[in-house]
Amino acid sequence: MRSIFAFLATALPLTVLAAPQSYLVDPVHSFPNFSLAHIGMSTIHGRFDEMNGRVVLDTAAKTGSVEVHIKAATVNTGDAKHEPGSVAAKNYGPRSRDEHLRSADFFNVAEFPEIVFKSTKVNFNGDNVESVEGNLTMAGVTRPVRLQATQFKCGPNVFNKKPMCGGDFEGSLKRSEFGLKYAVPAIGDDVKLVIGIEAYAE
Amino acid sequence: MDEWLSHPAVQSGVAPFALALVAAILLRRSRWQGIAPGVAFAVAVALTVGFSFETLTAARKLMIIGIGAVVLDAALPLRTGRAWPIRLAIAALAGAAAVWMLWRILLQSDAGAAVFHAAGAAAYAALAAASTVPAEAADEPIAASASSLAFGLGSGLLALFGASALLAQWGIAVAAGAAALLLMQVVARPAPYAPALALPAAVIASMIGLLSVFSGTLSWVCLLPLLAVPWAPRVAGRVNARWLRALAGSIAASLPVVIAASLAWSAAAT
Repeated sequence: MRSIFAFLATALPLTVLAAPQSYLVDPVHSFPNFSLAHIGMSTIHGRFDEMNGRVVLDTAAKTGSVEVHIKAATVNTGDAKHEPGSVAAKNYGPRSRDEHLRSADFFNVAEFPEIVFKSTKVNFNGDNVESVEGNLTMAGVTRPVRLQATQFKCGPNVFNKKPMCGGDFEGSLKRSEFGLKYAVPAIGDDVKLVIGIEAYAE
Repeated sequence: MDEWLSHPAVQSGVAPFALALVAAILLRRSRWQGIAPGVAFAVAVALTVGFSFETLTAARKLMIIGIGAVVLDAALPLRTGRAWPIRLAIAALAGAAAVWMLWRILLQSDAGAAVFHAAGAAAYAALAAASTVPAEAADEPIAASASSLAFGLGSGLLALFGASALLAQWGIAVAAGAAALLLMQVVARPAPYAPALALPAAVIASMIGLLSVFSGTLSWVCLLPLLAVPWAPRVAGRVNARWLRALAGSIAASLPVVIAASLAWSAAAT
């Protein structure tokens, strides 16, 4: 009987530690960024301003899942609006690059308001996430994408002490594989992804 | 060669015009000469984004509707009776096609707004398509081609204001194809022609206009003047010389385009 209690006393805390921990993505500090070549001259950088989702990690079992939803209409490449009479309006017309990106030519936000990433596998290196593999659905097309962690850690927030995890992830894709073919190759087909994510334990 | 084919002027102007002209020349003795704007549209689609239908987006549905309009126009019998049954049927088809094209966009709205928007879109497409069926047994081909040119050009210009360069290219390609057809009608002997020669261009252009409104930033008000395009060349009057008829018809058809573009410019400026 004592041995049973002794076993439970040691095993129970371990069971609690082994439970998957759910983290809610902090939309204020999490942004998916992208970059691609522009007419062979320079690289255009952009990001989506709104991302939310959930990350579940089980560091003991070395498993996890990631699901994030990105509002496609929040695409931001630094050219939001051309004011009448401005240099941008005179040189490039009344519509801005961000408006063009929202149109049927690219992200087609009227038909597909969300870009969704759902993981299929989370790979660990020790207790830290090393990479995430999953399916990205953009403009109605789903393709596999692999995101490599360039940094990742979990711990208390230095200001509010709440437990959280965060990291930077890199990946790449060809936009033509998602049906976003307009202006390839003048506007690059290869898109580099850099996703910064912070999430608080629920 | 790839760089040349990637240039927007080639994709929407040079190549569509050239291939439409070839089609118009080869078919100049047949009633299918009117497929030239459709050929131009297909060339522009092939050069810009290609014929891929993995996800049936609104733009891809537009491709299917455009090709369908060409086939329908080619299949229409040479009519001798009243116009209204054909007008009604074509109007219904065009309206249904517009709702089908915009379906996924309409589903993003609440039910009341979706029904309202669907009705407006269907009405616009139906009116544009029905107006290409003339009261007489067969259309005056030069007037029909002039209105096709203006309708394509107008929709292409408005698409730019709607922030879509792709739709603009497709609209301009339709205009290029109509220009090729118009050229053949001016220089060659008149041939038998389909009873609603302007139908393919009107259908494609109206769908381009609708998509520019629903997926872009174009105000719907700007589309309304384009409904006058099929009628405008007919009020220019009949003159004997074919080249003069083509010029007068094109100028007359362009007036609603100028009004539409002015409205879009004003809307963009505010």
